Amino acid sequence: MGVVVIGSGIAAVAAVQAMRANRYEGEVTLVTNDEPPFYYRPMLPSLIDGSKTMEEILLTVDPVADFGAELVKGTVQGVNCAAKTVILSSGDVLGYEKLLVASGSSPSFPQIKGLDAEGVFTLRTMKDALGLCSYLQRTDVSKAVVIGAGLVGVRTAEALRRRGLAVTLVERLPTILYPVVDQVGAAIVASRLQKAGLEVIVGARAEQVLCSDGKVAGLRLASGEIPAEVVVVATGVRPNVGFLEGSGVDCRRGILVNPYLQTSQPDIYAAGDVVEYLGLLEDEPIVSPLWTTAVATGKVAGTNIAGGKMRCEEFLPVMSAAEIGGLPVIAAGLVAMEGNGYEVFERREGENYRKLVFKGDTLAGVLFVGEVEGAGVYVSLLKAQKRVGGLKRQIAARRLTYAQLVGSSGDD
Amino acid sequence: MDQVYVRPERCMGCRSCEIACAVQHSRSKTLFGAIREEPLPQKRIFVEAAEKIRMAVFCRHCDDAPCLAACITGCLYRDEKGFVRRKIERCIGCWSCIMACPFGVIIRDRRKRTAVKCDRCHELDVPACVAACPTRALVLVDVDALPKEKRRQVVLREAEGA
Ligand SMILES: Cc1cc2nc3c(=O)[nH]c(=O)nc-3n(C[C@H](O)[C@H](O)[C@H](O)COP(=O)(O)OP(=O)(O)OC[C@H]3O[C@@H](n4cnc5c(N)ncnc54)[C@H](O)[C@@H]3O)c2cc1C
Repeated sequence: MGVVVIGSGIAAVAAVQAMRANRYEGEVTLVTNDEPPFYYRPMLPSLIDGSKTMEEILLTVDPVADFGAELVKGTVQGVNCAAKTVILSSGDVLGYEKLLVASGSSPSFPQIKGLDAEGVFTLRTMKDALGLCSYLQRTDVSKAVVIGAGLVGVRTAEALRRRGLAVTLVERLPTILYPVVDQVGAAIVASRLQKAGLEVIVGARAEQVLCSDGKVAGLRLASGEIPAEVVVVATGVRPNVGFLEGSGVDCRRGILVNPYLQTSQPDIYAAGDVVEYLGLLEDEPIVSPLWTTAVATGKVAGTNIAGGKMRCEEFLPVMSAAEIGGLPVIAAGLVAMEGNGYEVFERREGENYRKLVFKGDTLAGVLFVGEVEGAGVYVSLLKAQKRVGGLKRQIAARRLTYAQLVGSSGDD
Repeated sequence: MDQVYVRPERCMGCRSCEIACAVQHSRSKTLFGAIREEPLPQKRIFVEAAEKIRMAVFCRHCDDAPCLAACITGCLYRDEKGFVRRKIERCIGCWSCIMACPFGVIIRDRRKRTAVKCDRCHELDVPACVAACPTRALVLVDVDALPKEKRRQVVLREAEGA
């Protein structure tokens, strides 16, 4: 009995840590089909270019050794809310007093033919990364196509390029990295990628993965064919909620939760990529498949499972930092938003680009490309939805410092 | 735990703390050595001036540190003294910590492409910035020893910049 957690990602780990920090001393069982169970998922591209080894990206905390959790390897197939049990595909059944669903998300695929060819990969799990690496070791692989120019696609494409492959990045939308960066930012970053030797094709729909002898031979676009021996699909993720169908746990895209991260079943909580929750800047609930969200929701869910009463902060659709083509990028909120009651301040000097989007008196979007120092001050203002009133022009004109915020408190 | 506090009304903006910080994080650990180093050592404390205020801004080693929660590599960790520090070999320069820090006090080492932040001079009893401050605008306070009410006042005073 005790607490059962589905998943072993960072949301699950943060939750277990919070349970123990809040003096829950009962049993905690993590069920996972990830192997190895605990690692830094965002570091997977570092395996592709060989800059890190598998050992180097294993998680630095061990929920089993550090928090006395038990680990069960297996795939959850269903949840019986009435009996309070979790059913594994092996047929095993685990009873729970409280259940945390932290099952994360999985790659979603475009509706195209040829995805079953040998040489088509995604990059979500350690298994995916190791599979891709061993495929690349075959000498006849020299050209790769990455479908989808989101953060994962771009970072994967760069890693493949650093490994020495000829890489084409294909994006359906007119700009890369939407909605993390706007058009201007995308152009700056794309030109860096091109300088690094990547081919970037935007506004192009992948039509079919070409095969010969069951193996990838290329990708067909409306505009022509790109020869390649490897295709990596990076067209976004979808919450893993399939096993909850018919369980009585309400889902839309993700699992719907209240501010304490309880689902429609009071003994069942959810955390991480799998959650759909109130957006800070939207009127609708949204998913927020981000590391920071997974850590934050894990902590809230774990605290509440342990008997606490902690509220979850509202979700942001974008909250990202990365170095792309050697250029730092930090983005939060609705960066690519224009018009419609949004007030935009932009400043660009060469590759340094800064954009602030205000809605009324509050920040709704922050984008820094190049010089990113101090971006966190703006991001924290956005997260707090603090009214900046008289400070708005100052904030937009120069670098906002923490001292300015302290100096202006109480007289805006 | 000992915390560094700033009393803005005493800060003259002399930047002694910045220099002491950079020297402490140099290879030679002396001013004359540090200014000749290539690259120059980086400071992790910043004297900021705004209309009605002047103060040093620095890492608070927050209880619920946003940088720590944002780190995707396992580089940032909390040491046995409670300070948020780096396992520098793990940093890949993703800048998630810079995005997360509400004080804006994490910066880049542009050459190594790694994040640079205050380590509270963990090997010293008194951090270099505090030791160097001529007006005692920077002070070391044992927060655990303060009564709760006093603690609240210190924090409030600082937040109000009074
Ligand atoms: C290549 C890559 C780079 C990324 N980079 C960044 C970044 O720079 N910044 C950022 O904020 N985010 C990044 N992300 C996203 C970030 O990794 C995720 O948001 C985060 O890891 C989600 O954590 P989670 O615990 O919610 O889910 P996951 O990490 O997906 O964990 C879910 C776990 O549940 C298990 N599971 C699922 N279904 C079942 C089942 N039925 N039975 C048993 N076990 C199950 C899975 O095996 C997995 O272990 C990146 C993601 C990838 C793939």
